[in-house]
Order: sequence, then structure tokens, then C-alpha cells
Amino acid sequence: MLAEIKNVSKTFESEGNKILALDNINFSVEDNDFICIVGPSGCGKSTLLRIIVGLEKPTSGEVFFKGEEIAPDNPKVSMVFQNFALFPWLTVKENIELVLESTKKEKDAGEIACKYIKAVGLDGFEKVYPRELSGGMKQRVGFARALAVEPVLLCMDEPFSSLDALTSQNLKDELLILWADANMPPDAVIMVTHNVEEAVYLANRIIVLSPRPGKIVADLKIELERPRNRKDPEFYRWVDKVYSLIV
Amino acid sequence: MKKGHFILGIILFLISITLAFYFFDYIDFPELQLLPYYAASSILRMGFAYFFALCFALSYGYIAATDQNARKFMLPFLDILQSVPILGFFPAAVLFFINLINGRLGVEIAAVFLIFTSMAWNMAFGVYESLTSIPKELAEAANSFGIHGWHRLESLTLPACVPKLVYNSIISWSVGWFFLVASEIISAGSESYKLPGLGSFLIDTTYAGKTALMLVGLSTLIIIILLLELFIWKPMQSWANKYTYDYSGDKKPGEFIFDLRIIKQLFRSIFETFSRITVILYILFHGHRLIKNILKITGYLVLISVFAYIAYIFISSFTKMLLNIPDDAYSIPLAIVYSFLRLSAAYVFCVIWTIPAAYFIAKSSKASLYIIPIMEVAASIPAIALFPAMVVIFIRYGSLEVAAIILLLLGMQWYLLFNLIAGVRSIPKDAQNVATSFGIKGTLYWRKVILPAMFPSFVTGSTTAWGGGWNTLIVAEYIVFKGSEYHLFGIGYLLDKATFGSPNPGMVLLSVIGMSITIIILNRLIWQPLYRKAFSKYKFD
Repeated sequence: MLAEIKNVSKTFESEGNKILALDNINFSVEDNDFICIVGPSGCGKSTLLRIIVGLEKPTSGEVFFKGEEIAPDNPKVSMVFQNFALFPWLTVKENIELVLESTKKEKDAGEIACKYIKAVGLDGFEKVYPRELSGGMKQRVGFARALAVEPVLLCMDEPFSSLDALTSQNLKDELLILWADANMPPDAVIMVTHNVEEAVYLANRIIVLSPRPGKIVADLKIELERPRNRKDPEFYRWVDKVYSLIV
Repeated sequence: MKKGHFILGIILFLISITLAFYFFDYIDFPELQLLPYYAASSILRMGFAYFFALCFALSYGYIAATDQNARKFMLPFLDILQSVPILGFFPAAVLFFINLINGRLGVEIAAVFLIFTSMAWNMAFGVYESLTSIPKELAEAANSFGIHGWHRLESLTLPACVPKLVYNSIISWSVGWFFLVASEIISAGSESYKLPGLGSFLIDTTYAGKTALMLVGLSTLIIIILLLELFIWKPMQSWANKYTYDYSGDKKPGEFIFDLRIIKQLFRSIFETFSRITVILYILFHGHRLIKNILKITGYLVLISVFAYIAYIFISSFTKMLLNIPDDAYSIPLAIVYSFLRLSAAYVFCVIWTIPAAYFIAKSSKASLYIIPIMEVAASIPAIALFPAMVVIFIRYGSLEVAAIILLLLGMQWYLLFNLIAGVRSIPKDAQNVATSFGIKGTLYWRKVILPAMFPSFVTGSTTAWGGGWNTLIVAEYIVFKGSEYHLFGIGYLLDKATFGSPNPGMVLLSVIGMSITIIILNRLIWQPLYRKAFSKYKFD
């Protein structure tokens, strides 16, 4: 077992009212899992992800990573952000080196950065500033940065939602290759998305949350052959099934 | 602790001090009788100036934002106006308006004009910025739904200005208090042109050695500023928050100690009437070619005649001067260097303490809760109002140099501090999350994340701080106390001496020109390149 989410609940306070956002979430993440968390908007999926990586504290409950309580700066867990979150004053390479310098891999920071820039297909863009890149390329930098710290668990908050269909399809396939490659990080992936088709295409497990307060409605194992074919009727049966659980 | 409570606490404290003074016979009641009258005249001056500044800002900002051709010269012009030390022009303005209208009314108009010039530019920039930064999608949505003309102005254009206009109004008022007090203090030197007000009350009581009365005057000023804050700016801010394009759903803290729906309602209706009038005028002017042309022509005529008059005064005094160059004129460059060094010293102190303080305050919610209200209250007291008190202390126990640098520091630091706090707060949450989740800490965090992220706000803050500093200089280098003159050699001293010591219009003109050129050169060589760099490289999208 890689990570365990135990009895996690979260309440927000707004103008004196307490709003329950997440209600007693329990699941565990195994090696080689590719989990997609889906649910209607406002169900707390992003909050759940931020609690899993330790950026937010749950109101009650705990998150364990390899048996220990999760710390936000755990280098074995890294994060890809929806809006890329790159530093505009650093070049592509410097953005990646920054997170390496912080994890004390200072010596080979340059080398590792180049390796992952290549892995996401951005060679030649090392010295370019994020502002000059397209959305798809920015997110490639986001991936390279998250992978460069060689995480065991990669968490992603709607990483494809601000990209166009073609770009995101390419990136998804590359991500699947990296995930399947035993020599490359990550071992497991948790991704938040509102796109059910995307979830069925990528995941081997889909966790469906209910509308607020978010509760786990279903935890499905997707038993489809890879590479998956979107035109396969079997594929659509899965998509319909997940949709029916959300609505 | 809410800011409102804190403010109420201070007000009560100041009132009780006043009562204590009265009780222990430090002050006589008759001396206080005129205080309400003084306070009212001060507020009235501010009110008039603000009204004109608001009208100016809306029209100037609107034209600059919509007319491509006009923008080319309107923006640089505004930029120069903003960077010129307004206070240096006060004596010139007094002379100008007294020529037009004799007597006290002329001086009053000059004072209102001075306060207006301190309020208007940043508000105009605010309007311009908010009009040009209306999210493209929103403008396009308005286009595609066919929202045009007056409906557009009412539903898109004016609401877009509200947040920045309110924000800049607050700044303008605090700068305005500074200039109000300054103009009253400066004019107090001459009996015939004296402006009754809190500023002249402060300086009169200081000169007369009535420290207790001076403190009461200071308290009155602070109480007025705080009451305005409590009953106007706070509700206005929470009302303006509604108009920000912020979809992130960040909860805004309930800022107020008691619910002031009526005041908010009042603002809404004032704003709506105001916008309705603007809208009607807009339709009128844009609908009828004749009216438009007539307005245009009269506008040009007024502009040309004003410029012609100014040019005439300039040329005539210039020729007079060329015939008779004042002896002091050669000391102007050196004086500017001295003043520049004084400002630099104060600026270095500002930078050293504000950067860490801003970070700490912005990051800690407790600090925000307790320190920001105190800072804001401290910042709302115009530094210049403290100068009489400081002079009393420093002439007795220290050097005037120290007093001047402290005054400059007070006049500069808040701009930097509040800009930096806003800068730290505007760092996107996800950028912060990157730092947290990848464990970027310590010097690496400061070097690669925080300092670059603060850079744009640092540049804006520094620019305004220096602007404030040059203005403060005019008061800081020269003071007459109990009949004897104290001064520090510098451009402010030369300017004041040429105005009030031994009047010399040529010298005033030369000093103002020298100072303006210095400031413009500094802006062009240092701040503008930095600003460009800050916004092309260091700004989050």
C-alpha cells in the first residue's frame, strides 16, 4: 500500500456558516494505481487532492504516505497544477532546477532537468521563458517539473482542462508511457478531472464523488485493455456507467 | 481584533487626552472655540478638491483609454504631472490665483488647486488602468450581446472603474491630507494669505509654545481622518469589492464592526446618480456633432489660453531672471545633490525594514489582524502634521538632520510597505503551493521565489515613495520656530527661502525647474526601465 486516506472530512467556514465539503473519505492507493477522481463541480475533488498532497489540512481524519503522515514537502509526492504555476522570471530549465535544488540534488540539477525536458519533448526550449510558450508546452514544463523530483506518487489537478483536445491527447499518451515505464517515475498517479471520457481513457480506478458534501459513491476498477480505443462500445459502456453514477 | 474596534479605541483615547488637558488646565476653552471652524474649513477644502479630482479622473482616464491618438500624449503628460514635486509649485500657484482673484478667495483656490493636483493623477491612472484591463472576454461578450452606448457604459465601463477608483480615492485622500496640512503650514508664514485650518492651528500653537493645544489639534486631525475611514472608506471598500473580477471565490473577511447598510446604500445611490449623469452627458456629447464640436473648440481655446498665459509668465520671469541671475542659483545643483543624499538615506532605511516586514505581515494572518490596522492608522496621519512636534523635540535634543531624515522616512515608508504587502498577497496561490509542495525554503525561496515576485510591487512602491519624499523635502529642510530660522542646506531650503525668507520669484522658478528635471531624469533612467522589466518579466500572467 502506497498511501491511505482515512476518514477525511473537511468543513469550510464562510460568514459564520459551516459548510461540509468532504464527508468521511476513505480509500487507499496501491502501487501502479492510476486513480481518477471524478464528480460534479463543487464536490470538493480539488480540495481532496490538496489534502492528499498535504497542502491543506483535513478538519478530521488523516492521510498516510508509506505509513507516515503526509508532509506537504514530501519529495516522493509531487503535483501538477491546473494553471501550470510556473515562475515567469525563470526559464524552462530554471523552473525545473529550482525544485531540484530544494531537494538537495543540486549537483546534477542541470542534467536531471535536461533529461526530463527531453522526456516531455521540449528539448530546444531550455532557455525559453514560460510566457513565450503555448498552453500545451507550459503544461509539459509542469509535468517535467513534477517528474524531475522522481516522485513515487504524482498528483494532478485537472492538468488537461486548459489545453486543446489534440495537445491534451498527445500529453495523455506520453503520460501513460511514463507511468507504465518501470524505470521512470511515477509509480502511481492520482488525477482530478471532470471529464469522464478522459478518466475512462486513463485510469485503472475511478473514484466517483457525490455533490456537496463530497462522499465516495463508487470506486470502480476499469478493466479495459490498453491501449484503449475510444470507439470501442465497451469503452462507452464504462463512460455511461460513470456518468450514471455522477448524475 | 477588527480595525473598527481599534479605531474606536484610538478615538476614545484621544478624546480622553483632550479632556484631561482641559481638566488639568493645560488648555483654555476659548482657545478651543475656533477648532471646529478650523476643522470644517480643512474638510471643506478637501471635499472640493476631491470632487474636482473625481470629475477630472473619470473624464481624463476615459478619453485616454478610448482614444488611441489622445493616449499618445495624454499618458506621458500625466506621467510628468505625477512625478513633479507639486508642493514646489504652491508659491507659484498662490501668486497665479491671487492675480486672478484678489484676497483670501484666491489663496483658497490655490490651496484647493494644490490638493487637487495631489489627488487627481493617480485616480486618473486608476480609471485608465481599469478601463484598459477590462477582461477581454467580458468586453467581447458585451460586444456579441450588442451591449452598446449608454447601457454598456453603465453595465461595463463604470463598474469596471469602481474598485481602482475607490482604492485610489483612499490613497488620494491620505495624500490630500498631507498637502492640506502642508499648504496651511506654508501659508502660515505670511499674515495676509493665511489659511484658517488644522494645519495652521498646529503650526501656530507650536510657535506659540502651546504644546498641549498643538496635541489637541493633532488629535482632532487624527480623529477626523479615522472617522472618515470608519464611516466612508471602510463601507466603500466592501461595496467596491463587489465589482472586482475575481472568480476565485476567496472569502473576504467581514471587515466591519457594525452593519452599515444605510451608508452602503447611500454610496450606491451616489455612484448611480453620478454614473447616470455621466451617461447622459456622454450620450449628449457623442450624439450631437454640433455640441461635440463646440465643446472641442472651447476646450482647445481654454487649453491654448492657459498655456499661453503660463508661457507668458514663464518667459517674462525668465527674461527678468536672465537679466538678473540670483547669486544662489549656482548652489542649486549642489543643493539637489544634498537633498538627494538625504532622500537616499531615508530610502535605504525604508527598504531595509519594509521588505521583511511586508512579507511577515502578509503571510501571518495574526499579524494581518493586529498589525495592519495599527500601520494603516499610523500611515493615515500625514507625516507633515508631526513635523512641528518633531522640531520642538529635535531642536532641543538633537540635530535637525535627524528630524529631517525621520520626516522623510515617514513620508516614504508607507508607500513601499503597503505596495509590498499587496505584492506578496497577489502572488498566485498555486505559485505558493509549488514552493510548499516541492519544499523550496530558506535562501533559495527568498532568492528565486519571494524577491522576484515582490519586484513589481517594489518598483511601484519605490516610485511613489520617492515622489512622496521629494514633496516632504520642501517642508523638512526649513522651519521657523519661535522667531528663529532653522535649516538644512538642500533644494527644499533654497525653495522655501526664496519664497518666504527673502522673496525671489526667479530663484523659486529655477529651483522648481532644477528639481523637476532631476526627478524626471531619475524616473527615465532608473524607475521606468525597472518598471518595464518588472512587468515584462516578473509579473504573473
